Amino acid sequence: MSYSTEISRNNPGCFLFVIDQSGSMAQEYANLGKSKSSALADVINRMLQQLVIKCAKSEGVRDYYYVGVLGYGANSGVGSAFSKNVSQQSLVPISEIANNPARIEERRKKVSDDAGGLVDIVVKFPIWFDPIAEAGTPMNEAFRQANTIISDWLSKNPNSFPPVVIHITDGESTDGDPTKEMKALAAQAATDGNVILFNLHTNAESTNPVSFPGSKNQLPDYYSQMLFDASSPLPAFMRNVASKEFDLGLSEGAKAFVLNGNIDVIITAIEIGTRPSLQLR
Amino acid sequence: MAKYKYKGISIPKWGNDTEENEDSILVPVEVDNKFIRCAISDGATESSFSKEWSTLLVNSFIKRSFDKSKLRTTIKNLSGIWQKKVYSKNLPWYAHQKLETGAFATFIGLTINLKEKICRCVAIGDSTMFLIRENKLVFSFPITSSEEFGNTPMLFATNDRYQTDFACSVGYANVKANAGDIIVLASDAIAEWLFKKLENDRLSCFTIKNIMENNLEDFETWLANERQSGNIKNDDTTILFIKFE
Repeated sequence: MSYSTEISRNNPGCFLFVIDQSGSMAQEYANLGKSKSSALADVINRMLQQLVIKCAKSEGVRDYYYVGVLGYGANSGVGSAFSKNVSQQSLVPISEIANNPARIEERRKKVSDDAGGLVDIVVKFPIWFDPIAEAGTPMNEAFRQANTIISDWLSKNPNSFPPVVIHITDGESTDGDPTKEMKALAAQAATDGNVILFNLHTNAESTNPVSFPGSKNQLPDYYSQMLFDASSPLPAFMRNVASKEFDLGLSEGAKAFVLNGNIDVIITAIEIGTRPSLQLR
Repeated sequence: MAKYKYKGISIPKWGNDTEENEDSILVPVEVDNKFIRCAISDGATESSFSKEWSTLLVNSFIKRSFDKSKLRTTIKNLSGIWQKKVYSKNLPWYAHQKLETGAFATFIGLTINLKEKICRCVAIGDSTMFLIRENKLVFSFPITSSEEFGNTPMLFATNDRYQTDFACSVGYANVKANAGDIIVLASDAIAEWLFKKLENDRLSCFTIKNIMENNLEDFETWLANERQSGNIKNDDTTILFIKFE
C-alpha cells in the first residue's frame, strides 16, 4: 500500500516549500489588511512552529523531518528563504530549525476567558522567514532547483516517505513555462510512492476560487489548466484528513491544486499537505 | 489467600532507546495483606514528558483513590506534581509551548481481592485487561475486540483544558477469577495481537507459558520477529501476566 512508510529518526520525511516572492506579492489581501507576502510568511512561520512542537520531546527535538523553503523573485533570484541563522542547506533538519529562529516576536492573541468573554494574552511567535516581494517570477528556475533538491534527497533516502512539495504563487512565470520541470518533479518517486506536488495559487480578491478539483473543466485559462495538470493527485490519506478535519468530501481524482485561494484556503491546503499518514515513530 | 505468579515486561519501540519508552508498569504490590494493585499506562508519543506522566499514574495507584468520586481530585493533584517536575526556567521556547498542551496517557489499574479473587478494574484508553481461562477469552475490558483499536484513544491529560469528561471516558468493571486463570494487562500493540490470536482460536497453551517462563532476551527476540512480520505494530510494548494458582 503506497504512502504507508513510517516516519522515524532513522527514516525521516521531507517537506519543500517553493514560495513566490515576486513584486505582486506585495498586494494586500482584501479584508485582511495584510500583503500576500506578509500573510504567507506568517503561515510558513506558524507551520514551522507547529512542526517543531510536534517533533519536540523531553530530550529535545527529534529529526523526524527535514524542511526546505525555496524562495523565488527576480532581484534575489532563487534560493533558501530561511533567515541567515539557519544553515543555507536546501533541506534542514527540524532540530536545527527549532534551535535557530531569527528572532522570537511577542504577539497578542485573544482567547476565551471561560466566562463568555475574551482576553488578550501574549504569545511567543518564532520567526524563520521574513516576507519579501520583489519584481519577477523565475518559476522555471525555482522548479529546476527543486528537482535537484528532491533528487539529491531521494538518492540518499530512497525508502523515505515520499517528499511533499508545496508551491505557492500568485502569478505566472516570467522565465519560461515551468510545466516540464513541475511534471518531472511530480514524477520523482521514493519506493513508497511519487512525490506529492501541491500547486497553490493565491489571489488578493479571491474571485472564483477553486479548491482540489478532480478535472480542469471549470478552470478559466491555459495557466490554471497547466498548474492543474502539473499537480499531483491527492493520496487517500490526505483526502481522509481533508474529510475528517476540514469537512471536505474530495473524490478519488482530486488534485493537490488551488486556484485563486484566499489565505484561509492556503492554510487548509498546507495543513492537509503536512499531516503525517501514520503516527510519528 | 490466593497464591499467584506474575511477570511484567516493557520494551521500547524498535529504533528507540530504553529511556525513550513512554509506557510504565506497576507490577503487583500487596496492600493491607488483602489486595494487590497493579497497573500499566501508555504515554502518548506526540506529547512530551509523557513518560513522567505515565510513571506518576501507575505509581500513585498503590495508595491514591481512582474511584469515581475522587478521580478528578487525584488527577488534578498528580498533574500538579507533574508540572513541578517538568517545568524549569531553562527550557527552550518549543519545550515551553509543548508543555502548555501537557502530557497524555492511557491507564488501566487492577485491584484484586486475594481471598475472593475479585478483580476491580479502572481504565481509560486502549490499554486492556484480559481474563483467560484454558486459552479462551472469558472477559476483556475496556476493549472487546481487535477492531476497536485506533489512533485516538481517550487519555488522562495533565492539562485540564484537554481532559475529556470522565463520565464518558473512564470505565469501571468487576470480574471474578478462578484458580488457574491468567489475567493480562497489555498496552495497545500487544493487546491487539492477543485479541487476534484469541478471536482466531490461535492462542496456543505454549504461547503464554513461553512468554511467562522465558527470559527477557527471548521475549525481545520473539517481539522483534513479530514486529518485523507486521503481526505487532512497532510501538512501546508493555504486558503484565498474573496467574492464579
